[in-house]
Amino acid sequence: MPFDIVREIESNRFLLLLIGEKEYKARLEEIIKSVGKTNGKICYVCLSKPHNYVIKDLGYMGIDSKNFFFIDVLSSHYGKPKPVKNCIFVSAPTELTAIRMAIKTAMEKWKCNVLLFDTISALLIYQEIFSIVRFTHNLMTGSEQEKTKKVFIMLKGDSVPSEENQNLVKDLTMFADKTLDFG
Amino acid sequence: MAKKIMVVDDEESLQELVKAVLEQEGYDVVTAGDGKECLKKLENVKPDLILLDMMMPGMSGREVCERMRKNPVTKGLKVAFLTVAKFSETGKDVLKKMNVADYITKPFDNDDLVRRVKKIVG
Repeated sequence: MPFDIVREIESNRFLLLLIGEKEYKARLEEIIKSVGKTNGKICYVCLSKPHNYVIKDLGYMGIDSKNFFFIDVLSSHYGKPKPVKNCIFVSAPTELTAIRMAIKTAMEKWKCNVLLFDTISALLIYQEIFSIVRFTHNLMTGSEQEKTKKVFIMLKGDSVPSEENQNLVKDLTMFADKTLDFG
Repeated sequence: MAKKIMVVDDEESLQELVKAVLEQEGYDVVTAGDGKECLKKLENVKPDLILLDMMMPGMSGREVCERMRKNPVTKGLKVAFLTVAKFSETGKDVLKKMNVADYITKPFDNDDLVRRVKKIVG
């Protein structure tokens, strides 16, 4: 991996990670393993796949999911998910306020020290850039999350509208302590 | 002749407040409700300073400023951000590279706003 993610998380409050679509799976594994090494609880916001798939992936990676709390934004779209202890289901990716409230709950109840957003670019399908930027800024400045490290993953690639994606990266960079481009 | 200030903000109440404060100091104030309107108005108006909000629907203040800097007609205009946004050190570096004169955080003190505007445009 071109960056020492553990060190970057330790020294920055808000990290923006740019990953190419082809590299996504491999890089995500490396990032999750690195985040796992921070010895804390992780709030994992699932925007790319439902949380039960993420748990399976974690299993394949050899990572114990017991330190993970999930915000699942997708499952409710496909039906009524059964309540589980370590997950909050948000009704839709359009519900940014509900996502923020779920994150707040996760931080307070689970005392998560890392917020992993996989992937913020997925919101471009449902939201305009302005709403995503404001949502992110609110997460950054919310007093309840001052001590939480935020790691936001952004996809670069064909499935994401290029100009919108570039503008979102540039706008989020205004608030990010560091932006790491994995190429 | 009065110095001209353009206030770009999607919040009408904020536009009005800044307009009132600056007009009291003798400035000529024009307003725009978003980035698109700002760029359109700049085809006919050449303000001495543009006070730009960061988070606006349609086009962010960062994008508006970037577009202005790419346009030979508007690239030299003075810009200051007037925003609720808290920029990171990386963000502040971006502002420097875009030759942004200042960034004023909302909510602002009226006297401080006037002082900082005067510092930029006189």
